[in-house]
Amino acid sequence: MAAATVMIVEDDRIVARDIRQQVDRMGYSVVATTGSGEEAVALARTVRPDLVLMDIRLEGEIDGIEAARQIRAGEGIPVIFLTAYGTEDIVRRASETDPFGYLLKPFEEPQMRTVIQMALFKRRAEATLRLSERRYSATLSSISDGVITVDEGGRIDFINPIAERLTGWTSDEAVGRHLSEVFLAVDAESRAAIEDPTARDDATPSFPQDGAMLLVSRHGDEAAIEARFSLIMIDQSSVAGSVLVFTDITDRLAAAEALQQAHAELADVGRLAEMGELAATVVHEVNQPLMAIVTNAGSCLQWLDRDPPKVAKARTAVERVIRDGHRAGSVVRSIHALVRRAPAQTALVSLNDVVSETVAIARRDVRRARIAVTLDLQRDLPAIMGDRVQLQQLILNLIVNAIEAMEGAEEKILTLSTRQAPEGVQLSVQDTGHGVPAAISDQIFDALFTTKEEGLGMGLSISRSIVAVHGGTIEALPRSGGGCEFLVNLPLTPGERE
Amino acid sequence: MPDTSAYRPTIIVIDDDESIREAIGDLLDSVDLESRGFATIQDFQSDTRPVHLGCIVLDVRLPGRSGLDFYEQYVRSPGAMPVIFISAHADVSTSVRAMKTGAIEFLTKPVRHQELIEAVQGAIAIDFERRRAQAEVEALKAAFETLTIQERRVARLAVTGQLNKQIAGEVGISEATVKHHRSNVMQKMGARTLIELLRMLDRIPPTDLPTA
Repeated sequence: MAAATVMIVEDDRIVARDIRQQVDRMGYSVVATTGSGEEAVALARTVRPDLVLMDIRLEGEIDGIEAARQIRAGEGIPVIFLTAYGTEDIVRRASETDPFGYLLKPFEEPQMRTVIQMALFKRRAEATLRLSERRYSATLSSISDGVITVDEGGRIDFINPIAERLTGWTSDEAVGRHLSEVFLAVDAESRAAIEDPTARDDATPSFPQDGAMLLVSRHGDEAAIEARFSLIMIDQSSVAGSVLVFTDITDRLAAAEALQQAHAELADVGRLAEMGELAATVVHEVNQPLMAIVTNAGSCLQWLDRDPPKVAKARTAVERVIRDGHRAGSVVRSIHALVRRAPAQTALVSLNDVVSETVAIARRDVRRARIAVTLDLQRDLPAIMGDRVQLQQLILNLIVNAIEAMEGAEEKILTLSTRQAPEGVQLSVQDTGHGVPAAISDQIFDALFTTKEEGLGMGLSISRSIVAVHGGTIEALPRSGGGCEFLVNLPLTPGERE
Repeated sequence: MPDTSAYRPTIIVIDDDESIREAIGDLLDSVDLESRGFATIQDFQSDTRPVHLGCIVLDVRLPGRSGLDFYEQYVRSPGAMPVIFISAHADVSTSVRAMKTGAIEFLTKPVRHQELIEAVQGAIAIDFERRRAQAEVEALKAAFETLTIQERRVARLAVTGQLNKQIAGEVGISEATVKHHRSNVMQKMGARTLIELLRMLDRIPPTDLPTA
């Protein structure tokens, strides 16, 4: 290790030479000697000695204490004061500059040696500590967590850039303030303030987890955070302060929510597909008893037409008609029960979103049928309580109905519009098809009523069930200029279930 | 020749739905038609009771073997009865496929009872006609079997319009013997004129004609 370097600041040249000789004898290297405070400050900057021996009383603008202060603040070089006498005022001023020692004139070599060795040792220890502090500070400044450290009284002594951003307080403003002024957290559900962790006696307060805690910044912005709080212990019984570390989990929550949403949408598609399969099953399940009913009724007529009429046989046939009629009824009921059973999944839904989603689902069919679709969705429509999938099914049924109604029509325009109604929201689905004769406009919602060759007459019936479950009404009106308009009124909340 | 009209017709009803089998059975009963119901094609095929006259009423959508697949094979079997299809819905491709292979009716559920009765009666009439014609051919074949080799040769040449003299030359017998054979042929076959004999021989499938 190279010899430690020393700068001597002494305006008495003879004293300066004496000191220099003594320091040389001790094996240290004197790299600069000056008699002026200003020059000492400048030399410290360029020569960077390990130690400064500083006379307090100097000629010139600044004395040794001021020069020492500037050197300490600028280069952090330890200073040993050299003084013949010490008044209380001088000692007080000198001690404020954090001196490494005093040497009283005249100097005795062993005393001088000890003071210099002590100062150099302290200097090395200080350098190590400073390095460690720099590392620690650089680490805390670059991590993505917010970090605030407080002293044993709960006053902030460090706040990193992330914590600055999240709290809205700069380091300069925050340091020295009590933690409770800067770090304001509330429970996401109840919005009750989270207790100041430093106000507690026990070591580790438990914060709400999983996005249940919001940090409110100085500007009123809120961020979902997770936080940990731990005490800095000097030994087993004394506390030097504490560290609060917190993480902004807004993005994580958003990602989790998006994932959940994606899952829900997948499940919805599944449920819609199920409904489609259901319809195919219904065709078969209802057709079978219908076939039996019609055939039995035919047999009954045949038995009655005999001469003489075979009444007992006819009666048996009618009994079978009744039995199979009930069988068909139970099939239809079970379909409706399936529809009714579902709204366990009631949530706030935007009718506009549901309309857009469903139109997207039906896009292929609409395009294939060469139908132009117009959407007229009122902005800022209030959300309603309902089952999204059922509402999708409702709208899909109305769209499919419209597609079929416009088969062969010259002009094919499907218009879906929403608007706010006195007691909720209103959906209108208009087609330019063949229209619904007034005589059957009530019947069309009945199960098994259909005007179509291939249809089973379940679509509008299921639609009516869905609307009923949501506490609303549905009606079919003739559209001015031809075609038909289905008007669905839905209240904001379903209210009493039927 | 057996008298097929002596048999009561039997209608085979194949549908997996019991109440439909029951309903069709009762409807047929109301017009004095006997029926046998089967839930599957396998059940029908393992039934050993003979059917002397009748038709099949078949649900297209059957569990297990499809009604249409069964039909395409069945229709080629000797003695196949006419088949009336009943389908849950008028699936165009299915009905076209059925009609192409010769199903006599394709009805859609629910079926009008009169339509079903008429279809069944029509099918029975077709089956009766088919069986009668088949019986006649069998009788002709049997009669033809009684002819001697020379009588058969004379008969086949006679119906081509050749004169006795020509036939005698071709077969290598006297004209008088030809006349004698011809008379025997007409008597054994029960034909009164040459035209009638020609029609009879035409109805016997060539593969069934014993070669001279």
